[in-house]
Amino acid sequence: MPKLLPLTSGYRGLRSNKQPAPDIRTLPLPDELLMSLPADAKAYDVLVQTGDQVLKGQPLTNSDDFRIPPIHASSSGTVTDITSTSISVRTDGLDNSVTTQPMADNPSPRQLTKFAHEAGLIGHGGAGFPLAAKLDAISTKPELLLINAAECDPIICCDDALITAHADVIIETIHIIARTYRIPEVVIGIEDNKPAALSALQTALQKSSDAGTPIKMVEVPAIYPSGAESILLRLCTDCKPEKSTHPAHQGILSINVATCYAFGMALRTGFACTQRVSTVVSAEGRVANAALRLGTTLASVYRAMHQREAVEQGLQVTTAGQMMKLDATLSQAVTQTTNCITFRHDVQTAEPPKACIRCGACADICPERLMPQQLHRYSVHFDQHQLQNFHIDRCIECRCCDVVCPSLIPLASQFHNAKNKIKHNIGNENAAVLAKLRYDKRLQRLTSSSRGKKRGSKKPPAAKLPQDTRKALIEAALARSRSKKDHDGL
Amino acid sequence: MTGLLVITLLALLTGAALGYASSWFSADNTSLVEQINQLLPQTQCAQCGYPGCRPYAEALASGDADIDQCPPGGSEGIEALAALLDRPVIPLNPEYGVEKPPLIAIIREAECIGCTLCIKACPVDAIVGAPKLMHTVIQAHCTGCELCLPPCPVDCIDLAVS
Repeated sequence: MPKLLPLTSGYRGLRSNKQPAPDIRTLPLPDELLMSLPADAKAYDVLVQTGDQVLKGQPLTNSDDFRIPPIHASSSGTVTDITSTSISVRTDGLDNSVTTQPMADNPSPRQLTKFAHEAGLIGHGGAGFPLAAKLDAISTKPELLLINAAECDPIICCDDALITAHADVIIETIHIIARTYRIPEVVIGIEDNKPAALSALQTALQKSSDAGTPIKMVEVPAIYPSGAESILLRLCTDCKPEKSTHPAHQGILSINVATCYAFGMALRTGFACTQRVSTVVSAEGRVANAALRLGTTLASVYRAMHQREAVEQGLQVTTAGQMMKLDATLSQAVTQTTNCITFRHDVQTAEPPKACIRCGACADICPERLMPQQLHRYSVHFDQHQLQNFHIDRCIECRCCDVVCPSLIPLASQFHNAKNKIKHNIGNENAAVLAKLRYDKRLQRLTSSSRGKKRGSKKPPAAKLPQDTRKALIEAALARSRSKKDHDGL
Repeated sequence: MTGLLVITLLALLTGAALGYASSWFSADNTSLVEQINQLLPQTQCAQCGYPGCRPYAEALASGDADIDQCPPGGSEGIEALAALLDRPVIPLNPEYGVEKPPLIAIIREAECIGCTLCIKACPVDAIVGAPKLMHTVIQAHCTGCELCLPPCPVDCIDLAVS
């Protein structure tokens, strides 16, 4: 295996390799599914109406834009409600599915991209970037395929369980992608706290008869956030993508291992993505990996995990793991990006943040080697120039600084807001520059044309034709138009 | 004594050299008008009473106008101008308009009669169209100056928050 570049900072409290990931269990089919719709209502058409019967895998929306993948019913049933954010389906328990054809062998890049779009696939890692849009961007200049198998959160272990169980599908899919898009280099970045997954991948790799692009496996240290795209790229390859554009536009295709599995299953069956494996942490602290239907509400996940109804009072629901910790509600539904659901009962109200004591703990842990204490100072008293000097654009919002801050300052969310504000300001500045340019151009045009008019008016007026000639000309014109009308009439 | 002389001479020489350098390699090449213009929002809306942002900047530079006349710039804009021109921060003068969220104009295309009056009024050439043919606003170029509204004979232009 190639030598590793060190990741010296970051959060180290990750699972040791002595604890294997729990096996994947299947939860009972929920009574109701809530299929989440994309945010931009103008970008897609809804294909069903309230009262329609739908089958598992049936598309509910349609869009030609690769950035807005369609969504599908994840079980059969009746559409009960359509709102601006979701489509509710009451399941009939039969789980009948649409008939599909698996993908033909050796598809063209265009065919495969279109298939990824029609299967409704988005990134399963958390950010949810549409897979088809990534594949479309890569197809012009493919250089590297990076499979991200470093989930790196202290409690998430769904990818570990998924790789251990289905390494063959993953390897096969990697070969299909690399072959179709002619990607010369393939790297799998996997953490060193997953020995079972690593050996499963190696066995699958040896068994695979496909002698296409060689696949390189790189073990990365189990330090959060080694699975962040920019950090994993730094750890596994020599690539240094620019921050200005998405890595996919620079020939780097980075896919989460769970996305890769979902894509592989879709190719094998011709079936849209209707479920994903997530880590579920119960209120008692039990960690389980469960295959969840997309659209399952978190309330029914709770019911299935605890064998009792969820009580809203005093229950804290979060998604995205221990580090990212996004607040959620029980009425929210599982989507392709839901990699972890955590339930907690005994939540104490958080202490209010105190003032920064400039201890520097955040600077020590920052994996991007930034100085969060300085960024904090300049985001509180918003100073765009200084924030840019201290490279706020490089902050990946991993929340390592939040975890170590003794004053409990929500640093990452401050940086998130400051980044948005800077983005907004830059947008305004660009618009102002453009408006100024267009205004100046218009003024220039107006002054030059008025000068032209003045010059033109100096010309002597055309000599008046004698009365008879003018009459004759008018007669001739009328005759011409009459004959044309007759001609048209015929 | 020699030491004192040498040090004094050196100090004088260095001082003179630095003084010349600061005037020779002046960092500030942009004129005051240009600096003011950069702080203005470039909506070219003429609400300040001048026909565009640059004329207003010129008036500010010559001291004819006050800094409270630009509604699109709002309080942030006034603060920036006050800092540059070393004047006290004052609230926006309501005579010239009130602060609004950023707007864009949208033509109700079915009702447009193709009179081209709005095209002539647009300070940034953000409306396309031809006589007796439908017009439309290029949204990316529209500054929301509202100057196209009064000339429209059929009132088919709406403003929307961008």
